Amino acid sequence: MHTDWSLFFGRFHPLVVHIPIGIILFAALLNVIETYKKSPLLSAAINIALIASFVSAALAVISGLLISSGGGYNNDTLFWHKWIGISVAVLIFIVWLIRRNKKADVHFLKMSLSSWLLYASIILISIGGHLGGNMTHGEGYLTRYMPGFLKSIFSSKAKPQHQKIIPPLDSVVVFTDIIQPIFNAKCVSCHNPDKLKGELDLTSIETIMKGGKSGNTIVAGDLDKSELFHRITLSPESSKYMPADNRPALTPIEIGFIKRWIENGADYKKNITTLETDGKTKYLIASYLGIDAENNLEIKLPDVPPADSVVIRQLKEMKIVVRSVTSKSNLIDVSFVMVQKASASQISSIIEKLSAIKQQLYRLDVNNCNLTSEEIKIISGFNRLNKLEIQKNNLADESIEPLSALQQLTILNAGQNNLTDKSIATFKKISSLKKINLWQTQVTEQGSKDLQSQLKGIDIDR
Amino acid sequence: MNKEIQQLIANNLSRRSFLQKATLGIGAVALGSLISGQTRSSLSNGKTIINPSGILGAPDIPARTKRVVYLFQSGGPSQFETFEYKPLLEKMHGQDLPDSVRKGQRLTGMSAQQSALPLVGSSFKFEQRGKSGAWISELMPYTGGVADDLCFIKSMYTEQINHDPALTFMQTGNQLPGRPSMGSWINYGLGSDNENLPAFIVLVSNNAPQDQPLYARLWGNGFLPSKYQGVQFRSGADPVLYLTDPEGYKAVDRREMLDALKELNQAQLETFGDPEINNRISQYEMAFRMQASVPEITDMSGEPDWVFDMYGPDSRIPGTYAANCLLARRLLEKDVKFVQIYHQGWDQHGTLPALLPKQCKATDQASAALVKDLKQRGLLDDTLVVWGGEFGRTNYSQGKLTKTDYGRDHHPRCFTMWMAGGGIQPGLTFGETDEFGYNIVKNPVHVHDFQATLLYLMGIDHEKLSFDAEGRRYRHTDVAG
Repeated sequence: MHTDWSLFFGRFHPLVVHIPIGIILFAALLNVIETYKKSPLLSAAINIALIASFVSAALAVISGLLISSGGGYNNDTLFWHKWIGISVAVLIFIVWLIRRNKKADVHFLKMSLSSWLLYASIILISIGGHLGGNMTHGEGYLTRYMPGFLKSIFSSKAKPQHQKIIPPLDSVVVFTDIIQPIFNAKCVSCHNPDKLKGELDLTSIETIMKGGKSGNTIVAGDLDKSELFHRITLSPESSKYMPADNRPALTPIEIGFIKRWIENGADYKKNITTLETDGKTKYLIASYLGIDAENNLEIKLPDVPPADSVVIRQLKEMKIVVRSVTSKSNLIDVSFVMVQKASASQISSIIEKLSAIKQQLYRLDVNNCNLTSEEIKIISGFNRLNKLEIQKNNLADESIEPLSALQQLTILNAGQNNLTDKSIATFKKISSLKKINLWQTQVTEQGSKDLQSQLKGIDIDR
Repeated sequence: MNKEIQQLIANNLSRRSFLQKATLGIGAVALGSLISGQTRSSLSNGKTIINPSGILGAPDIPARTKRVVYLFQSGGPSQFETFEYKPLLEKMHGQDLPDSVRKGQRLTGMSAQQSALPLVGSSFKFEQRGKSGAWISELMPYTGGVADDLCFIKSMYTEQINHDPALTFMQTGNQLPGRPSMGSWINYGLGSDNENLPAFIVLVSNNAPQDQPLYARLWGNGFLPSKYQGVQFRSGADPVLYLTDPEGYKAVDRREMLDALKELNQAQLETFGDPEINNRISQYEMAFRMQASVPEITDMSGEPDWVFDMYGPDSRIPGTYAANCLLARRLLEKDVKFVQIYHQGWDQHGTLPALLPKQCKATDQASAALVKDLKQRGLLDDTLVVWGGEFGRTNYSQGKLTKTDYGRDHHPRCFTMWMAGGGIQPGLTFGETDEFGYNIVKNPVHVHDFQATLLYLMGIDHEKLSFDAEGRRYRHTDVAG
């Protein structure tokens, strides 16, 4: 690999940049001391510190300019970081000049001009340093682990997090949803309207079609002639290899997508459904985009506020199993498995307690708990329920009628109860129902057919 | 007195624990950040995790299954006489295994010396069962009856060719002993739901030939804290010994004794800081709770006759495979997270046509009954049933092939497993082998893939659940994935 001297020295910037910062801070400290205790030695020391910090600041500026030539930084942030850095270096030099020429060091508001400028440079260093940190560590590096009370102060600054919007697989447009994002991630830091390396701009359809210096950036249907594909598939040692300068390479999957896109005519509008894709490609695309391949296998959970922790603790003390559905959700899964032997009054008091967390209650297992119609009435108010298990409770048709209010219920286990075909009317009203267990009930073949006619595709275990 | 004890302990403070303590003291700050690092994924998104009994607190992804019952058929059941229908083998019966198929694969020392490797077809008939049309042999009539609830994986493969390493690989993700078992990982990650019972329970059939060893380390905790190891129930009328208090000794007395013991242990813990002491305390507490919960579970008198009939006549004899399957259902009903059943004796190197039917007869009905029983109780939605061994068997005969007799050697390149329940697509056959049943031609499933899938169904990202040991982080699937 060829040696890029400018980048080699440029990469020392993060190292070099700390030297002037330290010295300037120390010079400022000495300067503060000097205001209280004049001494010619101190004054000389400050001057030495100032010239040393100027020299190192100049080195930092040079290395900074070298590293920035490599590109890949946020242009806005880079602009301010660069000019703040340069002005600090200049400022320090001016301070040094003024201090050498005592006459120039006039006083404003009881402080010498050189002191003013020196302190101003420290403020500039803080801002510029912060911008530099943002560029290397990413924005929000400092605030990520900030305690909540501080965050609330800075909250006005907090930007909404960019959430990747995932389209349904069928509406994926090959270029917009797959190819352009790959270019954005791996190519446009150099190939943008500002930088135009190789006279190529990969940020828009028009400029991509126009191509770069050689003109044949992308030749529809012809991989061999497409310069872009040629470059990204070269050996990384080659000087023509892209992405250059050791930037993150395209993954084999990304290269595969670009290959198929060019082979298929490099169309900019085509929807994925018009492409001839086999199952594997579809799966690859889906998983690349974060869509579950068998579309909608992904379980979507409603967003709810956290449950009352006092109630949760009380429930746990009462031997109720309380679990989070996932670490990314406040929904709760509750099971009475440890209290199946409890008295009727205990059970009913626990169920009443559940009302306090009904917003979060997603799954409820009250199998074998001697429930009565009273408890069922309360349970029917838990409208967030996705799964309810009430097997083996001696419940009759009338007692379970209120359950029709559960309009988000998808799984109901109602086996081993005194239910007959009369209950079918109740189940029919639960339009969200996907699966029901009616084992050891008196529901007949006719009854389950009736239910199937209303709720298409429902899975009935009998 | 307390002081004296502490003095005594302090005098015995070993060099090792001194070093441990000293380094721990220095590293305490770093450790603190490590611990919070482990649960970072659960904390950073600002959600309140409710059940922190496992290290993960809550599943990373919505769990598709809450419990697992793993019916381990130890020894390597032959796929060719059970679920893998290969008519070509019957056609080419007695002919040599073509080199183009074997491709120089290593064989075990048991058949590598054979002058010929004669292909051998199944001596048992196959039939398509259920709506899914899965080919199942006449040796597995009951399993055939629930074929539509099962998902067959025909393309399992492993890296190990002998029993112990293959078993260890299947259970721990590594062929060498010392790593935690699957159930331990899950217990460590998700904790237990029913605090009155261990989260990981092991049942070993007593009606199986004990031809190949089955070590307790297969359900061991490895480097995880010892409270995560599998608890083996004995295969007899009394699955857990010494649970009943002696006459004249009441539960309150036991409580008092345990409280006093706990104080002593606590004193040790404060002096040594050895986390194993904590595990010991929690094991005593678990044993105390099991005094009440286990007799209730193992008392089968409440089960109606038709249930025993469903699981087969063996189910009335404690410790048999069938009785263990029934017991497993009762444990799963109480939200035990991981039940592991072992049935040995599937290692038919010779006299396969005579021996294999016995194995199938002992297990087929109960395995199928378990699936059926879980389903009717509405438990199959969130219970995963797994059936399988550690590897497959060869398509050629080991030893002499006669009209009525043959054997099959170990074959790691492909074998068949089935799964049913939580998150599994029923009636599906996944993966495919070639016509010879020797190599996989479609959708290969490595043992690590299987383990990752199992964790995924439990809501665990297998790359996230790790434990620091011996200077690095370990996962169930180690560095795979």
